[in-house]
Amino acid sequence: MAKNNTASKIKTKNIASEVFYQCMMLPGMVFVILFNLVPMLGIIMAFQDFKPAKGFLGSKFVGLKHYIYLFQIPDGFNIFRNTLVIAVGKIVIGTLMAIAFSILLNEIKHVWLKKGVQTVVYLPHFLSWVILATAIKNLFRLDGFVNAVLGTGVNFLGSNSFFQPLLIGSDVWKEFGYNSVVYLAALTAIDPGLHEAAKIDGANWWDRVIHVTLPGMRSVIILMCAMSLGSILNAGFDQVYNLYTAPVYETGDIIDTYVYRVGLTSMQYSFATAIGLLKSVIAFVLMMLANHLAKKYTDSKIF
Amino acid sequence: MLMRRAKRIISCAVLSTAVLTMTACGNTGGDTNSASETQEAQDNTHSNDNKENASSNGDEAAFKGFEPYEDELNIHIGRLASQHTVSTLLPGDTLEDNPYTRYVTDNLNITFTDEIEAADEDYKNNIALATSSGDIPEMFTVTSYDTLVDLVESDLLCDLTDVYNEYASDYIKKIYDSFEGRGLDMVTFDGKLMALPGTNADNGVPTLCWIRKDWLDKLNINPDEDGDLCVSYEEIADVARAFVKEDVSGKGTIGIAMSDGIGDAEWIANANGGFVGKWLDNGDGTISWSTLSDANKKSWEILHQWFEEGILDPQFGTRTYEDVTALLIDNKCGIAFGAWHMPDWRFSHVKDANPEAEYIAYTIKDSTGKVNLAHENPTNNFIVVRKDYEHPEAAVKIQNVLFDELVHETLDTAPEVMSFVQNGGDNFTKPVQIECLPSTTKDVYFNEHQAVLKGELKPEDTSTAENKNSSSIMLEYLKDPENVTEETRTGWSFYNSRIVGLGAAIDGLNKNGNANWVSPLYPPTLEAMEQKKAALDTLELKAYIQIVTGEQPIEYFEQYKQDWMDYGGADIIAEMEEYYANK
Repeated sequence: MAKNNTASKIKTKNIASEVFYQCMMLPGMVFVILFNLVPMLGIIMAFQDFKPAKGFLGSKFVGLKHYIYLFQIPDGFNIFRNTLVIAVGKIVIGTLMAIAFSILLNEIKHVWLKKGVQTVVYLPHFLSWVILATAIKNLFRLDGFVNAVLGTGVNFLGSNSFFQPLLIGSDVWKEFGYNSVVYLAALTAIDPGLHEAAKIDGANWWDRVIHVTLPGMRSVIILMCAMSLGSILNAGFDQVYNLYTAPVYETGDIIDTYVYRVGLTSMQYSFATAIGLLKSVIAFVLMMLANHLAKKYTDSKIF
Repeated sequence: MLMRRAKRIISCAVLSTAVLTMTACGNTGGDTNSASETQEAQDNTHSNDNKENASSNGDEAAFKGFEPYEDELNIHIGRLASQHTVSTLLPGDTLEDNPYTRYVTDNLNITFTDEIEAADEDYKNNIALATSSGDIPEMFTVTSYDTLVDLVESDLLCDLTDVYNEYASDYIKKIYDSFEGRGLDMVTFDGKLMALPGTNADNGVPTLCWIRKDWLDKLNINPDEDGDLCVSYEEIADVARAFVKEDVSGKGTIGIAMSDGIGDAEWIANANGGFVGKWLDNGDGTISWSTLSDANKKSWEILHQWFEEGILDPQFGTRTYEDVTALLIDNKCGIAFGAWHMPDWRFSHVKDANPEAEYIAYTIKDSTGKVNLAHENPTNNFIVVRKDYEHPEAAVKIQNVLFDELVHETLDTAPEVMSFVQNGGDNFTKPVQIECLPSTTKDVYFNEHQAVLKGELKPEDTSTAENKNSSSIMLEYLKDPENVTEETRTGWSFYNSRIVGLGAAIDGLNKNGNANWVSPLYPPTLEAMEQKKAALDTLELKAYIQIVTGEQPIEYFEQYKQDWMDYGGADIIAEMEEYYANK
């Protein structure tokens, strides 16, 4: 009995002294509740015929109508395929480029050159697609630089065979420098003794990359890939929206641009919400799966 | 008050006589045998050919359409008020108390209290919210047809049929009649007039073909041998072919440039006897979507041939409307399609960049010589009155005062409100936010500017503040048309829109007598349409671009037609046919 009393006393005391620190958490919690949790209620729009004037309570409940329609629309298949192709292309090629770049950059011993190159390849990341799209349009248009150099007459931005490579290529170019930061950090964590030992054993540079550097980066690479799975259905709205035109709807129209065109500009809030929710659910499942696999094979996990 | 009124009436009579003899747009409003002294005087101003125009309510009783209320009547209104509208108010004035509202108060003893005041989308949502709660202002402007249909279906609106018949002045009735009932039809539900519609005088049609006159002269070609300001699409293609072949700009001339919207194909569809993106009433209770017609198939095929030949922009489909405008400004393209007012806002930039640029406009005829035209949505905003409101006639009276009486005022007769108008006071500071002008507004523009050009009319004697302004600026430009400066460039625009553009669109068409007008349906957004139309639009745009660029053969058109029907088009049409059958 007495013991119990002391225990609860200590507990109360602890709580009392923690109140101050708990209060410091409060603004953050309020923020999360207000901006992340409360808007979740809006998910109900996906199952209604939402009319802004009538609100959540007044709008008609229609169940899965919008999902059924999603699979009936003429371009449904195209849109999902394009999104996957573009997003997977960006993730795979972007990751490979970033890894290769970081390994190469790590070989540069000249500090100023290294820093200089690093800064230059970071730069495009900070440019908005609105600006870059204009530059790309000018480069790749019919009477633009690329056609002039190649001596061809290809309308890249209007061609269904070139549009996806163009999207993937330009995105990789824009982001690989910035994405390599994590890998550069991972490289510094590799014990230089391993490299030296390999050298003594007669391994050339290529052997060392395969047998020392890459295994050393393995957990980071897997982790980053797992995280990028969450964005597998995000093929990059701002890039596509600024570059695409009607002739390349066939290969360039992604879920986000379709939702924007059909959902928001024609004010179908419910339909747009329904697709957004579907995207989030798929991304959530994929990420959980990837996390599970990462834990199983590399012993590291995101959460 | 009386003195002012008498003075105003006299000068008003003089002016309207002058204008009326000049223009086709007659003012034959007003009524005979008015009891009140004021009303009698008013009649004189309002009707020159009054005798032959016996009014329905004229003989038996006094016409009360302009009669002020004995006790001040305060109306609670909903008001559409954009930032721009507010910014034009005079210092110290408010939306509830400005020259327009004071003018109404002076004439009718009506004052206003704003219950809802919001801009654009906000206003629409406010009204929709009020509609769903059933608590709407006594009188207000509705800015979308969907909201109006909603209000009618919720049974919240007053039937205005009787008050309209009894109180609307003949001039107002004439305005609506000039649309051949198209505006009133839209607001008539079950035979009842549920709103007073604003008017839209087909400002975007006809689509003209604008060609660089200086380029034509340079190559010494003339697509319009007979000089009737009307050409066929083959003649336009010939011009484009010459422009491209001779590279008249020296920069790699592009023959015909069109933006990535299917609406840009309207001109060529018209030239083949069809229309793009319109709902057409087939007359037997069935409705069809005009883009599916063979005329469009034919025109897409022609565009494809031009694309192959190089007359049509090789980057067709990837150009936005802004890109096409840039081509015009860069002096790379000399043919453009659009309404009569394009010189005011599009070609003005071309002129700025290329001082030598001159334009000529043509209407476009089909193989039988007809110019096919579709009326635009005849109305935009609406005035409505709450169901149980005791003074529904006030709405009609306010309309009489603002859109009949005020139109015939001058600076002398109504100095406050007229100087407000001339100094850029926004129209929507009126207590009701609609436009109500006859369908002949464009005719007046042309006739008056033509008369000013010929020296038959002085700018200050034209009928509206707008025309006074534009015609005098036009004269400034014509003093030295060779050297257009920054000051006279607006005059160049007005000359090209009002004389060149309307010369083809109004005068040319009237003289040729070959206009073939069609009245498409402008339905509210029904359920199936709301959900499925946007996807169909994408389908349609893709088919159009793929066929023109040759990615799909012309036979694909049949597939597109089938898909359009299968993916919801049939549902939309069925729903719409049912709606119109029950309306």
